[in-house]
Amino acid sequence: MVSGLALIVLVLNVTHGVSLACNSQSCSTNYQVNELFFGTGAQNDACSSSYCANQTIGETGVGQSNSTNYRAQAGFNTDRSPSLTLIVNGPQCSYYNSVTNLGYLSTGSVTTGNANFSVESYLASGYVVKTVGSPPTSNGPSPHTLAALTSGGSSSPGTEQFGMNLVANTSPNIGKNPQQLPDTSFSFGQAASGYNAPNTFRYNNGEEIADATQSSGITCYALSYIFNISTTTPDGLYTFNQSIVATSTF
Amino acid sequence: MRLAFYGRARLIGIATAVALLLIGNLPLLAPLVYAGQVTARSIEMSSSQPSLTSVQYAVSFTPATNGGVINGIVVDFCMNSPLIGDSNGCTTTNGPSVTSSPAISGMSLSIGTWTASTNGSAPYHTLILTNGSGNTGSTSTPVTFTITTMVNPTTANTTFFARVLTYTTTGGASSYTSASPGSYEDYGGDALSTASVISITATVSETLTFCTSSSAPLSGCSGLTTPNLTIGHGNPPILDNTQVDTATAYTQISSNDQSGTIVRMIDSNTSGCTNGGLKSGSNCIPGIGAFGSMSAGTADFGLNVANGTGGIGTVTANPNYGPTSNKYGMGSSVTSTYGDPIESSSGATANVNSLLTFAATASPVTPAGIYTASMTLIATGTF
Repeated sequence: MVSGLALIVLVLNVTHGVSLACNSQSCSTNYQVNELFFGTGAQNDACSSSYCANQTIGETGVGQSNSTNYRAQAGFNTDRSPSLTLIVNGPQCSYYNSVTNLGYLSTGSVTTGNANFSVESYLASGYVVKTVGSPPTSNGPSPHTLAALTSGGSSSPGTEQFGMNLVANTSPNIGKNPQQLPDTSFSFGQAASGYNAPNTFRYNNGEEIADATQSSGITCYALSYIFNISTTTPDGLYTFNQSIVATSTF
Repeated sequence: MRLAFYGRARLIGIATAVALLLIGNLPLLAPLVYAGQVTARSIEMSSSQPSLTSVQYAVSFTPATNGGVINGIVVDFCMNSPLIGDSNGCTTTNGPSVTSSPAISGMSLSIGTWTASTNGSAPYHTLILTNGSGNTGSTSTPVTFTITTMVNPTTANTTFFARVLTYTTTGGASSYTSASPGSYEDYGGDALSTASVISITATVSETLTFCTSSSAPLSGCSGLTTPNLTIGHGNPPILDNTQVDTATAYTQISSNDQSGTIVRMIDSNTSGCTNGGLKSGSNCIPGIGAFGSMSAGTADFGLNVANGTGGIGTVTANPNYGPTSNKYGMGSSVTSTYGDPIESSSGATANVNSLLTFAATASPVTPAGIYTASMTLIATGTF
């Protein structure tokens, strides 16, 4: 009688079998584990009524390891969620700008502006940052767009120009090289080709301006803009609206 | 004894019934499916500006199941997590929207027609693509398409996520919910971010630079010499009835006026002399009048203006004063309040020089004397 009951139970389980979607990091035919640590020295979601913490003790290995083809995250607490953090004009970068009106442009000297953004991306094979926005354009019934340095070039007062870069310059004396936070062992962002040469400014709408080729901590980027006009540059209020777009590949 | 026999028979009957049930249900037995994580997955936004509408999101991922049928694709946008079926749900407050009528373009899985839809209620955070034509995925070829109807999250500098799933059936995709993703084939999570817009303004003022010089001005009206002209021949230079004498000067115009600049001339001899002219006390060498040749021995004073040269832009002589050489004009308007136009441009100019040639001759009866005139040139820009 016992064996007959066991047969019934077995059949019911099979006919109600479901597709096992294995979306966990460790998975076999019948089991899966999600970020579980077997052992002592770690606890996820250690919570009080108001706060939660992930805590570890005694880790012997932690952090990211890379080879040519593989990457691993080691430690008692690792996060399996890909992430991308992009902040424009945030205080976390030491070189930040709040000036939005550059005043009157002159044919006799260059006018400069600056801004900053930071990027951090986790569990990524890298990221790309692009600039989106038309060069400065005047208001009025016949808008005029300042001539952008589409092939890159140096600042030349008296010649109508608009461009930018992401490095430190001496002519004019503006800008800063990308900063890795907390240091270069954790963060790997860089200015892209065309925007990484001192005293060379460039602008093309939709162009890549920065990138990283692996997961990266925070990289702070300083944007340096130059505005030059000629005697024939039409009068008007010129506005440059720029959207920074960061895309990570996971 | 009788009772025990009954029990065994009943047991056999139950087992038989169960076995029949088992056989009858065999087609319902499905093999366990192991989904794979898509690789090289990304979603590129056409703009990171918060709340912007009609934003395009370019989706790309490489399937994990080579040759797997893809009859459905789901992209589910959540503010809290990229994890499929996250037990914390899918937070949508201030999140992106695919809109109630989502649309895509550029789908790389090209067999048949893909239908885009969404589910639930606003904000519509789930894109559901279905196509029962049997497209298949390849682990060496990315699947790409662009969502063309996105509305960005409302807050700046904010990370949000996308959960990407593929299905072998259209019904599997259609029945997707964030809490119950169902039986999917491949999966993956993406992270995206909005950002504050950088807005910079600068002003270009109206400019007009105009100068006169006895020598050709250099760029920016530099290198000027005061145009104090003496018309005559010999030493000291005199006017007589034997020839027409000339003296030259230059103007230079630079202006960003998009509708051009007009230069007018006023002769200081506003009375007692026809068409301005040159005066010595009450004696007069009159302005020549209409543009034409000047004859030696007929007392006349006139001006020729050549078309502009050099620089950027075009400056054209007024037909009452040029540009044909060896002809001169001096009309009555040179004594009016605002003067007589002598040259003009139709647009912006930079460092364009124009040659002015003043000419005069005396008649046999022109009284002796020093004849003078102060010619004032005025440039007016139209912006």
